[in-house]
Amino acid sequence: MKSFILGLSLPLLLGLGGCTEKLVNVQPYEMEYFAQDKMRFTPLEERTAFETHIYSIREASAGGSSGFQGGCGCR
Amino acid sequence: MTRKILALLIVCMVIPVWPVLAEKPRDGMSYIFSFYGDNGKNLVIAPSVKLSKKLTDTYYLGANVGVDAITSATMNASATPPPADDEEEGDGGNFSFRFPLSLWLTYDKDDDTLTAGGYYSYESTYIGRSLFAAYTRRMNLNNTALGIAYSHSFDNWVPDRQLPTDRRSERSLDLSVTQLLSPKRSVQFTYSALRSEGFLAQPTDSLITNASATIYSNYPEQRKGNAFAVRFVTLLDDPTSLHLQYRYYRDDWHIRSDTTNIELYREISPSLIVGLRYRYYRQSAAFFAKDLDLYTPGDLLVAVDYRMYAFQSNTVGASAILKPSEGFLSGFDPDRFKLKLSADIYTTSKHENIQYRYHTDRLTGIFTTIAVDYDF
Repeated sequence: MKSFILGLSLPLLLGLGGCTEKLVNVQPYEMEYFAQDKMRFTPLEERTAFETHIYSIREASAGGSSGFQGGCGCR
Repeated sequence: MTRKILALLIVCMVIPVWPVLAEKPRDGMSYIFSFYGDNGKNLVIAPSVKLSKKLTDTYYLGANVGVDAITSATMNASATPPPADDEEEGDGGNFSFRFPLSLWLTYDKDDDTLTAGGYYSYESTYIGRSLFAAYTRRMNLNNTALGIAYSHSFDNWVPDRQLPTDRRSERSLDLSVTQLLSPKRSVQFTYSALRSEGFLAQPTDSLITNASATIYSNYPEQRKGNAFAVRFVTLLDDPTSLHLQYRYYRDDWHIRSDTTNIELYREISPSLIVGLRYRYYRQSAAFFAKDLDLYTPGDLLVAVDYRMYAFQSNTVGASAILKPSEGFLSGFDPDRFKLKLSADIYTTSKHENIQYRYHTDRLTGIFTTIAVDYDF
């Protein structure tokens, strides 16, 4: 339960706190690099989706990525 | 009780307001071919088509349909381990097929993206069904993205033998924060809460005890897990980016794991990006796992699968993203077409349960993905 509350608290604090000005580190005209494939968190999203499935078959852990999980009975 | 009420209040406050996926929905189509094969005679061949179609300025319809040909998920229940020299009739000899289908609707306007949908899959021994939803809110001039995603599966085994229950359900809640740190650096934190209920072992996993009795895998009927992950992306120089990822996982079966992933991507030319990756994984054992020789027919909890034991794994891989320019792809619009290729080699550490089940010291496999993206 503690970890659940901690997990919820972090985005809650960021969202409700008055720190939005300090979080603007990049102006819109400085975002060209983030439009490039190599700067995305998942440049190969199809590989990421498939390997998530493979690792659920081969390992006992899961989670840690913001994605959908369908039922396959693998885990 | 006070803590539970507090958590419930926070959930009620957060769910209507909060988000996960930082990127805008696509208006396009992808053709994907995925393959996995290993020395344990496990094969997965999975062609699929993914569609995300813009319906109006704010609504997108998504669909993912495919066929998974599998040799590992649907073995018949066996009272004896497969013989080592059985090449045709062993676990890898019989393909079964899973037919997965996902449908979802996405609402995207200004800084908000909301997706909701469902998943259904059919195979002869397992029916999978799930509902999912995700909400993302971009803020601070797109420097910050907050997300929440939830999925709930309602699955059923169709086993060859009597199980304590045929039901199996999983719930997952993912919370994420994505933040740009500079024009060349970004970071993402993710927390996942995972809850499973029902018959959670593989119905086909069996063991011959020292007294020549056959017993089957049986796990606790509930499992609660939590995962914490951080991702960091930085531009080392203009053509090269570095991706770092770490995840810590723990659950109430006493399994703890650490996962580290490092990737490098380099833009060789405007039409070619190449990538290299290394991933290391290690986990501890479940509280009910013990040496196979020690199990007796009186044991209520039995683990045959090596995944319930301590082991490590390594993955190395290479990838490429091609966009048309000159040459053989020059007939395609460079703003709409993309070809993505990847190949990874996966290997576990040695384990006696792998030897018992697969007749090899360690599992070594390869998985590849070929994807063609086309934007409308």
